[in-house]
Amino acid sequence: MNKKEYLDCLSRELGSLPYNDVKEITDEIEAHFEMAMAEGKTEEQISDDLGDVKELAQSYINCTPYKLPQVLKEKEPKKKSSVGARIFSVFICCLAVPITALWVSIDVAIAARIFTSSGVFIFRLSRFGSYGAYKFAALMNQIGSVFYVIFLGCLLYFGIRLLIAAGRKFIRLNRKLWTRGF
Amino acid sequence: MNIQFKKGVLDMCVLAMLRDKDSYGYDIADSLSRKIKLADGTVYPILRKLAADGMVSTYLMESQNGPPRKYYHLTDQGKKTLEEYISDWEEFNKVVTGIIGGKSLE
Repeated sequence: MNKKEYLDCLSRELGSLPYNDVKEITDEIEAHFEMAMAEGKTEEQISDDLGDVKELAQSYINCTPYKLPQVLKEKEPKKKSSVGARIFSVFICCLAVPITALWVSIDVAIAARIFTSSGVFIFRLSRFGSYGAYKFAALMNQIGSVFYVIFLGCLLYFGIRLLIAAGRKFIRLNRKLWTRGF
Repeated sequence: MNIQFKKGVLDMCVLAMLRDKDSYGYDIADSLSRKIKLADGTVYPILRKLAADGMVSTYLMESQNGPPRKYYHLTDQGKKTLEEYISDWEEFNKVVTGIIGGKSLE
């Protein structure tokens, strides 16, 4: 076995230890390789002299005290959402969603009529010209689109927050693996 | 020689090798495996355990050639433990010599 094979095999066998322990151990054995090579030994010879990789890994594992998981910190009570955020979510539920729905349904109604008698209706709306008899529908359309944009903005906002929270969790998980292993 | 004999005294031997001067892993592994026939790798897990138990401390020191070396230093606790090991060993050795000596006379 050459140096790389020996070290790779060692770190594989040490897999159940925390990552930084594995790193320290392989660093030390790698240093052993380098010093022995400086004395003129070949990599194969050094591997033989070091002894069986599995045995070496096992004695490392046996002599590493099992670290008890730290007592989990009591979770901080969840922060109550601020008044602003609550008003905001009420706004979303009571206004933005229904109005968006209304807007969409108007759109559907319009679309359904495209091929029927009211082709003019669509034409006029899309031009922002005179709405004629359809002022109310046109007004609702405009209001609806404003709320629709707000709604999308909110979705984006919560989406980003979710992404950040997930990212933090992922980092925490990695840190845990680093210090305590599996 | 019986591997069980060696295993029992390795901690003591490693500590004893660090009594007079600090040393690095390869030096200890090399000279110990030469005196007691051992795989070179045997010493490293022991050093790691001794460090985890606070018997030895480690520090890095530059070497003339190559990367910095990890040196091991015997702590006060390590010295105390070594003294205990040695007195235990001498006591044990005396008893065992007595037993096997007596038997061989039969």
